[in-house]
Amino acid sequence: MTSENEREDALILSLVEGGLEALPADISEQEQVLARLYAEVLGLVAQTPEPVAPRPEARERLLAAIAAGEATGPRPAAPAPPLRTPHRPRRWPLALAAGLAALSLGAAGYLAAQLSAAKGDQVRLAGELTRTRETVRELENRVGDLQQRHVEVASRLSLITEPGAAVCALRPQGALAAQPLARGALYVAGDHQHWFLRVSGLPPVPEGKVYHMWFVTDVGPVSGGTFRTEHGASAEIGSPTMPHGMTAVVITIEPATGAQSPSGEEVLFGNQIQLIS
Amino acid sequence: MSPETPAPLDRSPLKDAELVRAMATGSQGALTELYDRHAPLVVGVAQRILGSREDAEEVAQEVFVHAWRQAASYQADRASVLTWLLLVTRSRAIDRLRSRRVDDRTRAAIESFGEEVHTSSGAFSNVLSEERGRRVREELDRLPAEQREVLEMAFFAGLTQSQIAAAAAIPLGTVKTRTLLAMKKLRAVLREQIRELL
Repeated sequence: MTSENEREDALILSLVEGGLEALPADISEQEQVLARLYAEVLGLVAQTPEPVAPRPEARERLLAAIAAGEATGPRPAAPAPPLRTPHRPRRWPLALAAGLAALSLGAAGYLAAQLSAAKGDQVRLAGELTRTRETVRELENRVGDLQQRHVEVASRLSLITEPGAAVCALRPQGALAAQPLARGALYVAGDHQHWFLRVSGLPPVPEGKVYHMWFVTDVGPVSGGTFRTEHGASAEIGSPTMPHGMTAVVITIEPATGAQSPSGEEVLFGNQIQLIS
Repeated sequence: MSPETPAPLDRSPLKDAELVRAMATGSQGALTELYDRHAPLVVGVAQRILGSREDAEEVAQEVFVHAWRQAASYQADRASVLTWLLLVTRSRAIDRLRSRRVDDRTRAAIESFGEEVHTSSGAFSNVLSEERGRRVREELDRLPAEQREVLEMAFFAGLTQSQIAAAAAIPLGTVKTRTLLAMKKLRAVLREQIRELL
């Protein structure tokens, strides 16, 4: 894991110094995902200066440069075929002319019906195109979520397996003491900064309430964050920073509007911190 | 619905990646659309690096000509289109910065940190980008000053880790640690904004 962290750090430093061009070509799939995420972080940093609208002449210069340098632009339209010299009208019998007129009317009707059907097809295809684009957007969002999740899981696995990582088991307190399935664990990285909390078996809190995690430190409780749970689902929160001097962890139920210190019902508590490896 | 009253076609704006694909087939209209969308951000970052609007607009032209020529080789799995454009902008602007008198420009760039850059947003109306930029600025401001400074010196002044260590009179390892901490914190707190770009 340490070498993986070192590779991640090397990727980040390469990106910061040299941008996308500085990335090695032969990186693994996981490194590609990480590199993509950190490239986007840099892309966001690049968005911090105030936007400056370019002057209109700058736009014109660009378009002129593209037009001048674009040797493979759209091909000119093919020249139109020369118009045929009209034949001199011949004198046909009137009956034949009437027949042709009737035939033309029939053809016109047929073409109108075909045109109407084509319009119907166009409407249907436009609807299908819209739905397909929506599906693609949904799938792209899901892929984005999965990529994020993949990185988070890899990061947390790295956190709990690196040297010096520690865990603190949280046990039910108060009304939850009778629910043996309610439990949690706080994982702390070897740097004593990165951490994440995973809880399970906690029932959903009432409307207007949240679960609130607190670090108990030498100087008093420090908020670690709030969360809600759903029936049967676990919940996780984490952060790259942790207060100094943590001696215990407690989870209470507090108003969703916020709490300055733990004052609600205590549901989980832990103060036994053990090294994992 | 009768054929005489067709449903409105999908007129949602094309995504950036779709514009780049269209550019690869020779669509100058797609290039114009991409320029109108992102040129203010491109000029903004170039001006932040170079300090000159004229130079920044020249860099923007280089960037969009580059995008036009390289549209077919754009790799969507390496970076979003906007990030690609902005990182190319940063690279071109840094190249231009280094081609000047390096020592003087570097000193000026370092001295300019912390100064607010006042510019007019002009016709820029991309509310989403403005909101994203504001949010990222907030998170940058929340970083410890020493971490924010090394990141900005690397990104906007184009200084290498060693140059930052020399300029700030701190060990090289400290520069790397601060850079890594800043990047990892930003990645953690800007998840939503990253997801928008993915």
